[in-house]
Amino acid sequence: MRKELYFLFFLLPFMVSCEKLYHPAIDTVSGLLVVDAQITNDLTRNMVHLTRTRSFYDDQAVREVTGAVVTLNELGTKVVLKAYEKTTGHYAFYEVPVSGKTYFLRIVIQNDSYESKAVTMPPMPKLNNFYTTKVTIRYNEDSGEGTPRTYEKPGREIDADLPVTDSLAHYRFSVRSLIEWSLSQKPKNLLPDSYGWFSYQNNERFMLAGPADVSEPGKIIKYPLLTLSYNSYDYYHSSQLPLITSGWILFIEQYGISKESYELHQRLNSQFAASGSLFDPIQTQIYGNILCKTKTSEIVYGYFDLYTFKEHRYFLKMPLPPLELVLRPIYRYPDIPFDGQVDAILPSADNPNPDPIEKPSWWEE
Amino acid sequence: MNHRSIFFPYKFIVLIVIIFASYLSAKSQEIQEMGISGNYTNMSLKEFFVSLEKNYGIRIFYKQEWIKSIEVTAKFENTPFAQVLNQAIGGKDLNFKFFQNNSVFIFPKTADKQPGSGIEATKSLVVGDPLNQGRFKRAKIHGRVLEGKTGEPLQGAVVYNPETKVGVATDAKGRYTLDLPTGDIHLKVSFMSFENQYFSINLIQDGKADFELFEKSFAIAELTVVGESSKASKAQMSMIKMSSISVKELPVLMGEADLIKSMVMMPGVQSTGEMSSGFNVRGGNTDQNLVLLNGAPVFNITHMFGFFSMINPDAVEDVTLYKGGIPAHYGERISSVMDVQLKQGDYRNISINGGIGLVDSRLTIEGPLTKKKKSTFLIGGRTTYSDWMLHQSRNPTFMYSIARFYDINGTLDFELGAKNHLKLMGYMSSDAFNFNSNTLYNYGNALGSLNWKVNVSDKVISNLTLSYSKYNVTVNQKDPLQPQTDFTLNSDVQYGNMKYVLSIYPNDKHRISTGFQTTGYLINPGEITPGQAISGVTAKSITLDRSGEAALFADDDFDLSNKLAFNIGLRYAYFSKFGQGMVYKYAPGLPMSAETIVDSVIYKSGEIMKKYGGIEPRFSMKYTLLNGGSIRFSYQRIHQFYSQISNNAVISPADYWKSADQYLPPLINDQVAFGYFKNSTNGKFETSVEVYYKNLQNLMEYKNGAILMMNQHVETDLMTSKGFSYGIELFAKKTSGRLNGWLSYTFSRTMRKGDSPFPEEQINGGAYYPSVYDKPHDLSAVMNYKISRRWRFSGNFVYSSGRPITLPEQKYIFQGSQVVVFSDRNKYRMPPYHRMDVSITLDQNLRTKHMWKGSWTFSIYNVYGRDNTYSVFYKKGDQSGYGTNESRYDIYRMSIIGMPVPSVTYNFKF
Repeated sequence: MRKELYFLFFLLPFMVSCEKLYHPAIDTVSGLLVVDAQITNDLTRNMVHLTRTRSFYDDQAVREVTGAVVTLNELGTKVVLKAYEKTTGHYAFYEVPVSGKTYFLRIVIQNDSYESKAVTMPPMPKLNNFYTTKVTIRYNEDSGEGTPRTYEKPGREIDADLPVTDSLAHYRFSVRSLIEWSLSQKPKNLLPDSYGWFSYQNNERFMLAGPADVSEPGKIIKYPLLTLSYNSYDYYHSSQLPLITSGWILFIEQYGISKESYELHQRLNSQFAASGSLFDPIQTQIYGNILCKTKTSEIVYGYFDLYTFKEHRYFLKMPLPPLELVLRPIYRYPDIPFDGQVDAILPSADNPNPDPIEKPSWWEE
Repeated sequence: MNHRSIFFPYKFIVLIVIIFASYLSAKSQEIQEMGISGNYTNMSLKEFFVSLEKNYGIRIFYKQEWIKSIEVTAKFENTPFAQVLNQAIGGKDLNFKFFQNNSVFIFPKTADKQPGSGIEATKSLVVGDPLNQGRFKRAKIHGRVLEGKTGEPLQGAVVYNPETKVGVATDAKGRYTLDLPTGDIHLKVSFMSFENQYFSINLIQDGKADFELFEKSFAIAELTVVGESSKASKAQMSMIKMSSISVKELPVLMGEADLIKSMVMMPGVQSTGEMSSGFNVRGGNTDQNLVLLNGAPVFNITHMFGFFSMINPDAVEDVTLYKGGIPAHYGERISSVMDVQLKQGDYRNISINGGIGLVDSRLTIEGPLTKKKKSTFLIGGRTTYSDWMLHQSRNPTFMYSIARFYDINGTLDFELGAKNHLKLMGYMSSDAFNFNSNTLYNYGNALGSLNWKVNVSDKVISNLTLSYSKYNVTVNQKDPLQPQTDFTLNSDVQYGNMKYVLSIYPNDKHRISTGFQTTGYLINPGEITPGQAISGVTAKSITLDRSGEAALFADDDFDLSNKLAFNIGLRYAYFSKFGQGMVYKYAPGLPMSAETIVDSVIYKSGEIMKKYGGIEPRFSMKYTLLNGGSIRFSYQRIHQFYSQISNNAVISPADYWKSADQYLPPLINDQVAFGYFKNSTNGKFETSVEVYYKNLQNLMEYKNGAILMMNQHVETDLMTSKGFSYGIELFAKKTSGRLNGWLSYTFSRTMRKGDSPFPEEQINGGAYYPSVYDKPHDLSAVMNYKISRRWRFSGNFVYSSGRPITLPEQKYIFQGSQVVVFSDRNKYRMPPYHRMDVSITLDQNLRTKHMWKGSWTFSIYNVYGRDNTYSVFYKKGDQSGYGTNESRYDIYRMSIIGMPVPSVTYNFKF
């Protein structure tokens, strides 16, 4: 105890730095309309969510805006897609917009009318190529003495080539990687005793691809979606090490988006990155594309986004060379839980000959 | 070996050590210590001298009539020569002086007491070779005035010759030069609160004489000098000069004197934060200050994020800060120049001084390098044991933390004949600091300089300085909760410079300086590697930034009359950026962004990518009023071709430098200042009022959401802005007496306005907004009280307005995540900053002549435990949202030292 007091006394000046929650007096400006309009070619994903801004210190539940009249209007025509209030503050459509046509969103709340800028529905997105390239993954680990040491290990980067056309030049991705594993309690068992899986998905930031990444005219070349180490043990907890890796299922959700949507998501990425770290961007103000027509000075937050969506699935098996790598598309799209496990039924007095273990129906190998 | 490294200052340090060791082994007896043996009975003094010359190779100079009828009867056995002379001519009206290490000059004491001199001579000296007696009609006597106790130079001491009524004040290094008729003269050497010294001098030819002064026996405050140096223009204003003594008197954290923290007590100079890594001068950014250590720039001026100044206080001779009216031979940065001069080693004896503190200790060794004492050395260093102490703890909070630094500095001074002076300086430092347990910072400076000064003639001085500086930083982030974000980031900047100044002194009231300067920069903006195998960070490096700067300058400093003095200067600054590199081309009429890149141009190695140039007029004037006060005016224009890219979410040593380029033109500052200065007739009080206005062009401003680190086309996230600063600075100081100190208050504003023509890039709707360093009120009070001869109390109080910040005002949910709406930029302010520190020092007995001299300093930093805010930021909080999948973000503030910090330091010298 005496020793600790000694350290406290001598080193306190270096240790007293601390972060504290801070509640400065902030002007209260709240209650402005927020439009979160995500409209795509998939009817199940279409939704316009109307809420109100809250003051920064307001910890009450989100204030939904109900009773609004929401319509999707085709520019230059009289085609109007009318939304219905599916749940409180959430408005859905019966139809999807058509690629190549331009729409704007109109919202009427009591006596106030709001309109978005016009956005053209992009064509369906596609991948020109989907492939892997060998990479050396460099990383540093601190020796504990303040001298980081660089290590290297082999891995593969999963890349895509994307088309760039006049009507579609920007993309957004969401990537989930699912590792399939099996476990045999006894080495001589013909069938594993367990099949399992778990997934990695980074939702911290939006994955965006645009002409800034163009390396050839008309194409986005070698857009990196993720990198995987050859050593699958890197992905298991130490208690799981006897597991045998069957392979990876890669879920690639590809969104065809407008240039304005691309820039909006870049700004969102900047704001979400704020963590008090060295790489924090300068404060990022997010501007929308919706105006109040009846009160021009009123600011409306949120965004009217019109995009196309397509899901791709691939199976990837990465044995160390000289064994050949396997990368093939999967054309089945069942819902697969984020993680799970199927275990063999052990023989018992009631069931001395149980059925052999069955792999999940979606299992790939 | 790093292929970009072009100089290794530690070799220089090793050289210093080797020379020092050589010196120790080669040290031999001085003539006055030479042992004399013999039995002399009723021997005439002339015969005695002849005998000594014959037997010991000594040359003795005298006139026959001075020594006739004097006889020697004495027995010596290895008796020191000085003692022999005392015994032989003691009680006679004769005196003696050693010179040239094998000669002694005998002369009558009667010359010491010339009637009508009006002074009583206490010491006698011979300047020049007696063989040249009568050869010259006039001669120049030069040397230094030093504090006898510490050997430190006294600036502002007066060396006065009553016969000619000519006197001169010493400069910052205690140096003086007087041109006097040869023969027997008298000098009175005086300095406030020190005993006057009187010297009788036989001036034969040009030569050197150093004088030592001692404090008066009554209790009085130590010297503090703030004012003009003798080499500064009379018209100079907006200048702060601090001696090492005044720096050491202030109470500071952990009991160690600190140059930067002392300087921010002065008007117009503000700290950037609690433990700041820089300072702001008249509203300027931290990167707008040029900090020079013996001519070499320092890119990070603090250790441990500002806990300690980078510069060992024991090695500092003085520091001069120019806030305005910057002389033409300085450029490069638009806000200020801080010129730190390291001490010349003690030419008399080897001495060691240092200090032992709670967290760090320091040691400095200095002394003559050769027997003739014409060359000196000084080598010093500091290190912490905090790291060792942390690791001894069993508390995980401590044992896994890292906090250490060291620095080594050294100077070598060579007097090469009467006209040449060569000075070498080397410095290196290393820091490792774990700021918040996830981020480890390693950074270091390496500096070297060579200064060759030649007194070409009585009226011409040539001064050549070569300097080199390197700053490198490694940031290692390791977050156990988010290992995918781990990374290692390296960046560095290298600087090489040659500067030549030719000064011509047509007469006492006129000085002309001219010269040139060339500078090269090599900047590595960043290389990043992931921190582990599974990482969201991609290995990446930013193209090296190569550039150079050159300048021609001249200034003319002259007195138009006794009341009116001018300094008129002109500087032409030229900048060029070199390949190899690539410049992106952007679509015209659109904001620059990655999206609007339409082409790129590749430049080969050495090819000029962009060049800028500009003329920088400088003007200062002083008019002396009838009441003894003066009014002064100055104007300056300066270009700055380099800026520091700083993420203002976290003030970090990892901020990197960037040169001007196609899209970011150089910063331009025009400043006018006007001031009134008045000192009391007894010299005890100094007062001043200064007002200034700065117009700023091409300031770098960050766009909304700018990402600055590891950005290959960072110009897309930057924009230029214009701005202005203005302020009034009030200063009052009591310079002497048992109670002394000063009070300074500054009111200032500094505003910015974005230049972008694109509405989407405009900040705050295109209106002016406060700069991040806009702190309108700044007050500093410093007090020293001499309780007794040995006890001294010091205290200071600082207050400044809080720094402007941008805060989130509203929030909403978008695509499942919390989005915030920020206020206008810099709409809010952090809480005001204020703090009081006190210290009490127990000195040794000043009268005692012990070899070992020590003092204890007890200090308390932040006496009343003010929890000052260091930074405010917005980030994801620890709690999840309320019944939704929204991430919870909060506002946080970081404070560094929110409690009183006591410390004790033992300083010593022997």
